[in-house]
Amino acid sequence: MPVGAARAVDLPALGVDFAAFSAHKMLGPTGVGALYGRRELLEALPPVTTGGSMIELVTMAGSTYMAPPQRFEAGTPAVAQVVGFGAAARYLHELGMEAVGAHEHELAAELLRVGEIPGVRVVGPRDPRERIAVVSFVVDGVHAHDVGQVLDDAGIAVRVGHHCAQPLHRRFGVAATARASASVYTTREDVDAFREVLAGVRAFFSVDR
Amino acid sequence: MSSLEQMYQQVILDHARSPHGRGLVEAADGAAHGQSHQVNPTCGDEVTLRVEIGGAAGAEAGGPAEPTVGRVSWEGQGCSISQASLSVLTDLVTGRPVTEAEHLGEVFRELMSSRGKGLDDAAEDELGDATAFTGVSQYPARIKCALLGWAALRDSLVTSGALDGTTTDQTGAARAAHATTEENR
Repeated sequence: MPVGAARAVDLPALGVDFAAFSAHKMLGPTGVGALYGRRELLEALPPVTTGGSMIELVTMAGSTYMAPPQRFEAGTPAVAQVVGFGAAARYLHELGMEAVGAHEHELAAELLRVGEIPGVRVVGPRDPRERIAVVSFVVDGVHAHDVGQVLDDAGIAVRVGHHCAQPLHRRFGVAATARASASVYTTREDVDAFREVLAGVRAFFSVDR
Repeated sequence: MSSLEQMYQQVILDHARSPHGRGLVEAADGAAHGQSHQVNPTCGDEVTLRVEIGGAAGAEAGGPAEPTVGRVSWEGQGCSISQASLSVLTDLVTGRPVTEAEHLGEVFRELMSSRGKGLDDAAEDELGDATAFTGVSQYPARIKCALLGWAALRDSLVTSGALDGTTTDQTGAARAAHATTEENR
């Protein structure tokens, strides 16, 4: 399952077989990610694609492949992206994942307070302990795209639409939601500004019911 | 006026609040009609639009019979821009010859590719209330909202047989922002 927020997980302790993740979900570049796998499982797997840097011995009769992880890294690597990914990982490591988690937890609670604004409904659990700092909401009488446009005009970026989850939106009976997310660089003041602009959205569209 | 206010002109907000033509109406018995369901896959906005084809606008004026746009009705959900655009187009094309409605659609698609600059006075006179969407053309992500209804209208006219879908040219912007039809989703 892809997750969009960072928290520390101990994969070996959890007995995880495989874990795949994207750099762009952890402050890194797009187009690069990593596959974690237990060594014996990776060793049992055939290559996904063939190419340079992953073969050991090639004859007309057959080929043998390098051990993992090289076996799965055929061809020219995405050098710049991988170096950027490494820098992002080191940066998060220096911040400390405990600190990152605590910061996001605090901001999750602040973001959830949008539910106190008249006409604004949070989708999903209201208990901050059950949330990461990603909060989807609807504004009664105003379509998510219009909500997003007003926020955008104030320099606040939210995602609007169905967030790659159309069946879930159908389940909640809404066509689209707006979704605010906070990261390591988001401050409480940012969230205050967001709530302030959001509180004016219904007035802008003259929805007072 | 801020660019946000330019986008959400009062006429757009009014149409969005009380849209014209909303609520699908069955075509009269035997009347030629067309229907189209359009979706913006990026945002989930959708509309089903039905158009009835009237006859003989030209004949009344003594000329050759020419198909006209009869009742336009639609059911949809989406942002205020898409809903207001549907409402405005309903007012604009109802009762017009089909060729004129198609022409207005082309002018509107041109307006949407004007990047906020608008069109000349003659074109804006033709578009009437639809000129209010000039501000929307500054926002590439929202142009498709304004075009959703027009894509449905055009497709309905083609399915009704009153418009030849193969000959009429579409502007590049319209092609780029063209919503998918049910068939090619």
